[in-house]
Formats: sequence, C-alpha cells, structure tokens
Amino acid sequence: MASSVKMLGVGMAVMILVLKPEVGAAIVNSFVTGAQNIAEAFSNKNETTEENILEKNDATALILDQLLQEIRYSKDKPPQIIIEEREVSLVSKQQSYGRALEEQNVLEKKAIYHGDDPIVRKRLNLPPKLPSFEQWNPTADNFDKEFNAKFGSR
Amino acid sequence: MEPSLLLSALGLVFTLNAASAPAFKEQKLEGSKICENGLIIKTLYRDQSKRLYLKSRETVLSMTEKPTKNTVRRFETDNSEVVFLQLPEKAMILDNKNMKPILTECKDV
Repeated sequence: MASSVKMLGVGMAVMILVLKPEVGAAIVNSFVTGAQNIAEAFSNKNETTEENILEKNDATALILDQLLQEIRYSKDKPPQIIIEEREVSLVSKQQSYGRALEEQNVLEKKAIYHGDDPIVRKRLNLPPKLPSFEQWNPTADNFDKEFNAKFGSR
Repeated sequence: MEPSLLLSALGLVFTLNAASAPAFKEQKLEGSKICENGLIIKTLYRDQSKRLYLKSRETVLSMTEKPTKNTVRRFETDNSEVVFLQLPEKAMILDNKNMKPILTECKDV
C-alpha cells in the first residue's frame, strides 16, 4: 500500500515536471528558498548567541579593567582605615534598619500577611522577614561565634 | 587506523582538555580569605536573606547581594559605599564612589 502511494507520488511528480516544467521549476525554487531561509535563521541565531556571550565578557572585562587601573592608586591608605571610614556608625545603622522595617511593614500590609513562612512570602512576592537587629548587623563577637560554629576557629 | 596516528589523536584530545580547564582554583564565597597585602578577611553568607557578612579585624560589614548579568557576584553595604565582588578566581572590596579597590586578590586560605 505504502509503496503504491510512493509510486503514485513519483509518477505525478514526473508528469508535472514533463508536462509543466514551469510548475516543477517553481517547486524546486520554493524548496531552495526555504532551505536558504532556514540556513539564514540558523546563522542569525548563532550570531545573536555569540553577541550575547561577547557582551557578557565585555561587562566582566570592563569591571576588571577598572579594577586593574585603580589598583595603582590603592597604596596611599591602609585598607583597614578605608573600611572603617566607610563603615557607618551604629546610630545610622539603626536608622537604616528602622527604614527597612518600615518598608517591610508597608509591603506586608499590602499583601495582608505578616508571617514568616518563606513559601507564603515568596508566593506573595514579599522579601524574607527581617531578622533581629543583632542578626541583621552582627557585632564582631556575634560574627566570630557564627563563623567558628561553621568553619572552626581558623 | 595506525597506532601512531591513534596515539597522536589521543594526545591532541588530552592537550585540548588541559587547555580548556581553568588555570585557577575556584574560590568559595564563605570562609577565610587572605588578600594581596596579607590582611585576612572572613565572610559568612545567609542564603535566605541574600546577605553577606564580612569581617576585617574588628569591623563587620553587612552587605546585600545585588543582581548581576554575569558570573561575578556583587554585594553592597546598606549605604552602598562599599562593594564586595566575588569573581571565580578571587574576591575584592571596592570603594563604590570611585570604584577604587580597598582590598584585592583575596583568595581562600
């Protein structure tokens, strides 16, 4: 059955090509155009992927370039002093913690949920519940306790 | 196939593999790191709140993770003044105002 259908198809194709060469040429043309379009689509896709990768690499390279250029000027101050200068005072930390709490309250009020279930919070598009101030901004002692518990005293 | 040809093909495969492997040790986000000038920093990460705690001597910085489009992980303090960058091969601390490095070449101890 299948072979007779195939034979019929081939016979019809030959008949069309013999009797109407312009129809055959049109069919061949459409096949060629289709194949070209597919090939172009593939090459465009590859180009786009390459561009994306290049863009990503450029972004990383840009950060690294900036860093390497600036490294020359980093010798004028000891790093600890710079870190301490940048470290905000306890009062301003408490202020920023207060602001974060206010923002959390506003969001929770909108979502009508004040619980701390991470799954529910994720579903309601709420950020994770703020920990206590000590956990949010641990002191050196608290940090050491947590660090040593996790990694030992190294 | 001739044995010599097979051997050279195998050699080529091994060479290509060795060339494609990274030449550096992948650095961890958490733990002790020693930086370029010998200063040791310690980091802790809380996955749930996406916060990184960085201790250098007696100073602890608490930082929030910021989304990036590449493999670099970026953390900023709440006042956005200090930035911690975790690259696959090293970590660094920057002054966000002028992108000036405070500590560079920080690697796992």
